[in-house]
Amino acid sequence: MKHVIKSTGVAVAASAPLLTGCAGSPSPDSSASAEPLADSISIVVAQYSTGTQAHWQQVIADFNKAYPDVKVDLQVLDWGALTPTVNTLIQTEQYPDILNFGNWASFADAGLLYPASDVLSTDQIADFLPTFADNSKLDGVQYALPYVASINVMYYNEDIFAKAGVTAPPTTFDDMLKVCQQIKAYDPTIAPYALALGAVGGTAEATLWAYAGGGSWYDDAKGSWAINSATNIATFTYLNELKAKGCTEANPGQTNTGDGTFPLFQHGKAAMAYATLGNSPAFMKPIQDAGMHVKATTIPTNNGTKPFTLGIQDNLEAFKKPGNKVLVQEILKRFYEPQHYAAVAKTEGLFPTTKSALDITLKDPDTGLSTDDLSLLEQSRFYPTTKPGWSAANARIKSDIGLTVTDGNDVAQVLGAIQDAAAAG
Amino acid sequence: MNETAARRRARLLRALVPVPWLAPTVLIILVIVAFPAGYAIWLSFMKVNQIGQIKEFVGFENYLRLFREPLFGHIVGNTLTWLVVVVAVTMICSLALATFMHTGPRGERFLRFSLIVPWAAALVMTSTVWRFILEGRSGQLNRLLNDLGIISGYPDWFKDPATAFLTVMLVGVITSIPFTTYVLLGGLKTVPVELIEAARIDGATAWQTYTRITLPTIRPTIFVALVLNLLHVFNAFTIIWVLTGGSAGNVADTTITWLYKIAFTVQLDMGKAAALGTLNFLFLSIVIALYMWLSRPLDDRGTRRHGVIRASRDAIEDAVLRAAAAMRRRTTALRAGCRRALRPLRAPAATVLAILIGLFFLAPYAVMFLASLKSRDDLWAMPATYLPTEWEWSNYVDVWTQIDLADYFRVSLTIALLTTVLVVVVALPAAYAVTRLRFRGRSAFLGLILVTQMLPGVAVVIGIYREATLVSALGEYWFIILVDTAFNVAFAVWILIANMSAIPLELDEAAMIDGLGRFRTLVRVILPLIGGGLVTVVVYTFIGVWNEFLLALTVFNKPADGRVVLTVGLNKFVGVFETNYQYLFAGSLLAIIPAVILFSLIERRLVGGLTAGAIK
Repeated sequence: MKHVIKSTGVAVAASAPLLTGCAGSPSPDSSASAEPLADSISIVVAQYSTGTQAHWQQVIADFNKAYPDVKVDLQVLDWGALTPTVNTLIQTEQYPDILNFGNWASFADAGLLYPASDVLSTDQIADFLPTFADNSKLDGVQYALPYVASINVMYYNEDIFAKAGVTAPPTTFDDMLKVCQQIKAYDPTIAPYALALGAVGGTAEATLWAYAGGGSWYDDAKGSWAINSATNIATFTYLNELKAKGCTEANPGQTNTGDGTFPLFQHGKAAMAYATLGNSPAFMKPIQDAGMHVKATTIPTNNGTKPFTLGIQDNLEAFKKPGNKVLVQEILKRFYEPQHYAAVAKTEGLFPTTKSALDITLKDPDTGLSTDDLSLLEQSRFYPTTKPGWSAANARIKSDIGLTVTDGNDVAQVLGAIQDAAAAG
Repeated sequence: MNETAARRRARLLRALVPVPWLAPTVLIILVIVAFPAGYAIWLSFMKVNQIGQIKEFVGFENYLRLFREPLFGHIVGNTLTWLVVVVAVTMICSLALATFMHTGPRGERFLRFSLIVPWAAALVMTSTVWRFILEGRSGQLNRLLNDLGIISGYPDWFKDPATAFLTVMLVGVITSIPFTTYVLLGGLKTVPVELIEAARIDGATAWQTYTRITLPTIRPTIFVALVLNLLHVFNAFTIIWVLTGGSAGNVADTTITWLYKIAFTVQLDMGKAAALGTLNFLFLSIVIALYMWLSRPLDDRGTRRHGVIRASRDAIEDAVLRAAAAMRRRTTALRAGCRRALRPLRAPAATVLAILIGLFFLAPYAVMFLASLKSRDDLWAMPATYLPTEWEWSNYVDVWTQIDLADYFRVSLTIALLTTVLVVVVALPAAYAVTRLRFRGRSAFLGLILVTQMLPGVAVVIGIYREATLVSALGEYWFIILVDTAFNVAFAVWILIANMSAIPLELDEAAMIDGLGRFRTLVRVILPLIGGGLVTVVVYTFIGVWNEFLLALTVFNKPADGRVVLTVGLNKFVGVFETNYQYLFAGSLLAIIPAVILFSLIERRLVGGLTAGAIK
């Protein structure tokens, strides 16, 4: 605590190399510098890939050039360890300074977070794509700081389609059933669609289908949860039928992406599967290595729903703690510097959420993304993350939605239980 | 009056004699274990919101909400099934295997080695390799079964709700057998040969000798094996979580995995989870207390209460033996035929059997080795390939740069070595006091150390974390060493008690007459005589700490300062979108090797050390 109190101005000058991109942006809150600086700050983030730790260390190294006396404690946790750790941190009031976690709305609601305007400059805030910025607000105030995003689409194996005589990817639920029969007639050992409703990432796939069926999780008009709406029941009954007819792999309710649907698709044992758009290393690399021909399209829809993609946005949160505001500003500034931020997104195989970084990403041929994909981004629909009870709903959907396609369960009952959990908050 | 005061003081002084001997163990346990246990119990009466903030005291509300859960009955049923099936099958298989090994077939050494490997491997690694083996389209087992013509198709062993629980139980049994067999083998070696020969001369059949002489003699050992198994199986989290944590629903959940789901994944309700943890602890306490009461040694005089215990114990024993005898009768004809057919083959057949069983237990690690040399494409080949199509020896080079493996080794080695030293230093005097000093509170002390084995790690980590933050000890070596010591000291004390009680008291008395104090008696007379037990404690503690995962992940995880242990560091290869099995397995094997070498070196002494003297 006895360290020299530095003004933000000095810091900006000292850390010039990384900051050319946002040089000249006004410091968001100069009054904060009157407060003595904390002598250490902690960053807790999820491990997206083995490259995650390295890019944070880069930010920290540059930060420490300007603030050599501030100790930065970085924890990169795998997803399994993330929730228990975060929960423990909150319960023991050991708040991290910067956190990467889904449950930001509850933190904001509890008054633990800085609004974005406290830790980012106005230029930086304006740099976020509106799609993502709008999805980061609670009661009109932006708390979440968009970290990386994915656009989730359906991939299909062109080679299998050609051999099975399928001329175009299915665009409706009925189409899907026809295509399924064609593929099964060609080779019954191939799963026409690899469905991932397991407990690791089931929410993404489930949301994709719920929206495709014309439903939603939350009814904005009524202002209440609509998880067990008649439309959703019909959609998941349809998925159950897909499974019963052998249009999916054997146990879609117990299958996840990384060790389930991805390998099936990558080894030509599934003709269609959902994954993120772009060159995500986990999904696309084996496909490219094997020289397979695959294409991305939107998921088939029902009830006249317009084609769409599912946008999933991961966020950072900045916790209010004495003496940390300036330090958090300094870290975030370096993180969102366009060149650095675009490199981060490329490492993780995901979308950056700022216009400046997205420009760089779309021009980089290695990312597998192009300006054409901007339209897919614009068609994106998101989780109802800002609705009260979403964290409860999300947790239940993740763990139980697979039961809708597991024998011995009743679709309406499963969705009803999830609805109750969401309503209870 | 003076006289009584003096007597009272003398009595007080006598009562204080054991204090310095027991104090280190008691203090470490109280400080490290009692706090988080108490914290969990306290939390069970509080309302905790979804992001973990403690709101208010709510009395028994969490318990009531828990009982109202529609899943409560299902989970309790699952837990009891898991407990009874895994413990019973493990005990029966281990007893059979130990008996077979005790007959000394050729190939026994190989068999022993093959049991050491799974015992020396961290459970999280073993569970992961089983997951890899049991995959559907890309699973090794399915490939083998298809090639042998046993099945056609690719069942999802741990995903299909119809087989998931059974699969998990099977893996539970397979991973519990090695240790249990070793304990029982140690017991069998203590049965005096003269006793068996005398029975033979009296015309007893092999079966009669086994049930009337051998089994009753090793009853204390069976007791130890059963209790250790019960605790281990009841609190087992890793196997179930690694295999079915990614499945929707609760087909294979026991109270421990359900607790984790309530706390961290499905309900985000710490209060309710704490209530479940407390109930778990209560249940286990009652079971263990009942069991100890039933199985404690009785003298022949016996009060009426002893009569009741003995009667119920005899009734249970009789029932088990009757059932076994009935089964034998039903298979008599078959057995006679088999025996006649097999007699000329007996010795070679035993050798073949020994080798087959050995190979069975080594197989998962052979798969691990081959997978560690595969390319990413090979790992998911559908159907699986037995051998790598291209042998990627570079995986073993790359793994050192993919993660800071050398650092992890250094950190794990430091913690494991220091913890082992500390455990021995505090357990030795405690065991000495229990076996050599008569004092009140002896059972209380034994109960206290047993408690450390009854708390499920999942339930106490939050409390330990809280404690670490209170004393600013997160990521500090001294704290994780104390924590590891607290959870490992129980086994060390047990083993040392068993070994020390086998040493005749006359030796101590002689030493004391020669003018040695208690401490020097312990160091100069007793220590040299319990070499086997000491080696067992050292190795067992070292391996236990070397393989520990959950505690290190929670309170000793500071990558920025290079403070990460091996098990936690290797887990970085498990991601949501991909698992780098090749590196995970390469690193795991590198971690297993030192443990296996250590075990192999002292393997002979281990058998004796585990049960010398048996627990009185």
